[in-house]
Amino acid sequence: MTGIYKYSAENRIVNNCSCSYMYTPFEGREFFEFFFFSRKDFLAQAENRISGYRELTPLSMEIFDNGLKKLSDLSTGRDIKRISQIDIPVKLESLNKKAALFKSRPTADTDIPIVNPGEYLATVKVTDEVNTMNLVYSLFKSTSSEPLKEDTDPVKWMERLLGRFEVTKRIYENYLPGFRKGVGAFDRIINYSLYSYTLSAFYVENPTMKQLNALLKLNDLLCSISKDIFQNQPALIASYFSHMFEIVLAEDLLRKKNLI
Amino acid sequence: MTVLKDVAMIAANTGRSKAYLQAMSQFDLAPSFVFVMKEDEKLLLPGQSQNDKKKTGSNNASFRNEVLGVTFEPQEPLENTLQISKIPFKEIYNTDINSSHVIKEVSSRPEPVFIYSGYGGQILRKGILGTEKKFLHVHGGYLPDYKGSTTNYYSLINDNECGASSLFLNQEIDCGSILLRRKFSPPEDKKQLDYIYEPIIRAKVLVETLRAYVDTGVWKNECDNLGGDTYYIMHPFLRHVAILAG
Repeated sequence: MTGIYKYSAENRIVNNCSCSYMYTPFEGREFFEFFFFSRKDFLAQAENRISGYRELTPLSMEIFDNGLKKLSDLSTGRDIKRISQIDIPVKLESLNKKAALFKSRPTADTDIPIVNPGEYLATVKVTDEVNTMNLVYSLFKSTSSEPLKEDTDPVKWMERLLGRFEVTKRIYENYLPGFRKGVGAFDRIINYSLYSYTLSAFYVENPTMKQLNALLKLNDLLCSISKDIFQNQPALIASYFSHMFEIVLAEDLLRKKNLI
Repeated sequence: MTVLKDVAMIAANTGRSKAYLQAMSQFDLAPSFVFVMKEDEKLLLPGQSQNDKKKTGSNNASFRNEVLGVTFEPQEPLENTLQISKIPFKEIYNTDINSSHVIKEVSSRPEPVFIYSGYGGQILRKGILGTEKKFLHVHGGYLPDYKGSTTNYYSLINDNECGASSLFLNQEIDCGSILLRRKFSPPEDKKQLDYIYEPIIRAKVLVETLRAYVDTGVWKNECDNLGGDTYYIMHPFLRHVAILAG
């Protein structure tokens, strides 16, 4: 393999025009190899970090539990070793062992946002100023409940945030009433990683191209700031699982289109 | 040649503008006036390919594309087509459709309708829309299903087809009433979608829209433009899927 996957080579938060997605060149079938190679590299480094953890923060634990369950459900009956050569059953076995270890070592401090997720999603309106962490955490929590139906509040909020990210390539700390203009910091990596996780977990069974498109871009951004991700435990756990789901979705699409 | 007295055009040095003017000429239609937005010759702007940097036409049949009854020569300079068709034009040394310079020039013209074919990625803002001109645009996608960006790549993946729709622009992206829309088979070589095939299908819809106007004297709406989905610029992974899938 001679080429590289260039779309996560530069920090995409600092420079959101970096390696633009407009009129991207065609690189042939090899492009898929570059893509999976880059993602596998991220996953390998992430696994290395996770294996070094002795305990997880409460938010990390919530994401880990949720991700493990989704991955287990998703891998049932799928042969997904082909292009990515990632062996999900082997990974699940290893992750289950880690989960048992983490659960035996609870931490006292909590990093879970102080918000009642169900209540938040039921009451927050587009005409309100929206705190993104509260929104994303509430959306994340809704992925662990029953499958979502169209036209529900969580689905509408997922779509709105997707639109904001696609237009600005950033996720801001807050959004002003109307949910168009973002304000405050845009470098909170937990917002990107937890949204990427939530988007992938939300739609992993049956994603539209629009959702997969946003997920690919979010994960390019996360790979582009991997050094920062590796220093932030919940962001790393969320990014790890969102990358696993993305690989499954990407391979499913290639298989459906007879490209593998 | 039928000169559309109340229709002018804003063109850029892109394949799409070339395809529009060549197709109009081929089908004996011409806008009464054209503004050509000139770019810095060293830069490749959104919507431009290396073909757009050539100074002379190729005169080589191998560069000519004949698709769906439309002939398109992407290396033929825009100015050549304008001169051959005897269409009066003015060059504007500005590539931003929303600049005060362009707004002033557009406002100065008597034509109430402008065919819009600027550089890629620009959205018409209040200033230019406030000139009270109507901007006739051909969207590369079948409306209202596929609004937004790179939608023909999405429809290739979802439906294995392409589309083009003409409409008058307003402040909402791709939301004006639809004048005419058509579905098309995928291109033989999908790598040519951006710079050859899509300019051609958009040109074909433009010509059909203008012909209907010439024949009836009114801009008739084919349907409303409600519903559908708005898509965002496609990630290269999906773009490769769209090109390579059979």
